[in-house]
Amino acid sequence: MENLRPIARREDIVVQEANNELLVYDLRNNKAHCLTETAAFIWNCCDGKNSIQQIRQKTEERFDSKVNEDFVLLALEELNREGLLETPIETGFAKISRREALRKVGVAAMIVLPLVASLSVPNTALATACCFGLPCTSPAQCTPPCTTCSGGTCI
Amino acid sequence: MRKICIESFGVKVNISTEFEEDFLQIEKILTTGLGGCFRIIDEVNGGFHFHIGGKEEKALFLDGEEIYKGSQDAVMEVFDSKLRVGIACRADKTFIHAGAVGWKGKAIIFPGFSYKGKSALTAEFVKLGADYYSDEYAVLDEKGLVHPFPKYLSLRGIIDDLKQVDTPVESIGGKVGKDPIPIGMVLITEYEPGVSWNPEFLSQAQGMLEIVSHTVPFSERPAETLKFLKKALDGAKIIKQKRGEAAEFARKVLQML
Repeated sequence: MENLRPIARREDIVVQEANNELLVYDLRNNKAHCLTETAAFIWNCCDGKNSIQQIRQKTEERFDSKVNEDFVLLALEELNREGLLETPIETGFAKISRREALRKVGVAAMIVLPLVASLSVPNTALATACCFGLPCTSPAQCTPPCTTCSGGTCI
Repeated sequence: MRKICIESFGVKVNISTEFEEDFLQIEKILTTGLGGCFRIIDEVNGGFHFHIGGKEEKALFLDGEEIYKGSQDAVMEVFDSKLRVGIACRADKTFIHAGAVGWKGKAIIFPGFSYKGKSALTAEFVKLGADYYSDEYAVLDEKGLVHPFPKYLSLRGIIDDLKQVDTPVESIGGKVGKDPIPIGMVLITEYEPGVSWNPEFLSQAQGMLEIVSHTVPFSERPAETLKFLKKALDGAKIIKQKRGEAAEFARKVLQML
């Protein structure tokens, strides 16, 4: 673990801060992610220079609270899962359930858990895409409320 | 050939028909479907063009391409819906697919997909004294203020449970909001019979996560939209709570404000 220096992915994403939390939109898969304050902080620490231990220490300083290595690894696993790290890393959390992971970390943590909540925009956003008038060859290319591909355009 | 050119939220639309009887229907749709949020203009440069024509069957054309063919009622229904979608997509304001009412000078908006009960919930708020803003789109300006888009309420249960009936808000004792107002509350809600009242307060980022999927220009301008949503939601309560009957739910929500 000492050699691990995770790097946050910065390409093809849009980031909006909101009261220390982050809303991250992934342009590659049209998924939106909400990072809790701690997850956001850890993600921002992933600059390819900080080791897991250093991230842990910085997290302790920032939140004025003891955190263990598992806390950071849980955050990294959450980020891994959603493709928000440049290179996936082995955290040891991948093979256990999220509930189990939370139990493992949550007992000791006195601060907000580093979690990532996600929503797949195209699958659920029946009103999102403004596809009206965009070219298409089949209805599958049109996102509601434009549900029809007619005359080569989504309507 | 009859034609009318309108501008709505900065979008210019040219509407024409080969049939005299359709023209009256088009004028009615402009009132019921756009809630008067348009002005008649002389000529359209740019924008888009709807045309109703056809021979044996009526057909709806968009910018010269046939997009729908069917009975008169069906063509008009599609025109009504596509007119709003087209305006929402190209407007100079941000359209959030949501019901919207005004209460004590603040807007309550409740994003939701079609057929998820936005109109029924809107009607219940209005019956309790809230000002009507819209049952389909919360229209926000660049300051994040919600503007009225008072299309007729699309209520079910009048003819049967499926057919929507366009209903003026005044007919249920309501009135239309006049002024642009800031968002005071966002309700993330969906129907679930028998659910108990236990509202969960969301953070601003969690609220944005819930709302982005309902914001019309999001996929085209994600960065600008997220920045805009942050501003629009500043100071708003964001609550997630499934709802049982709309009337009871609306009463409980208003008691919180």
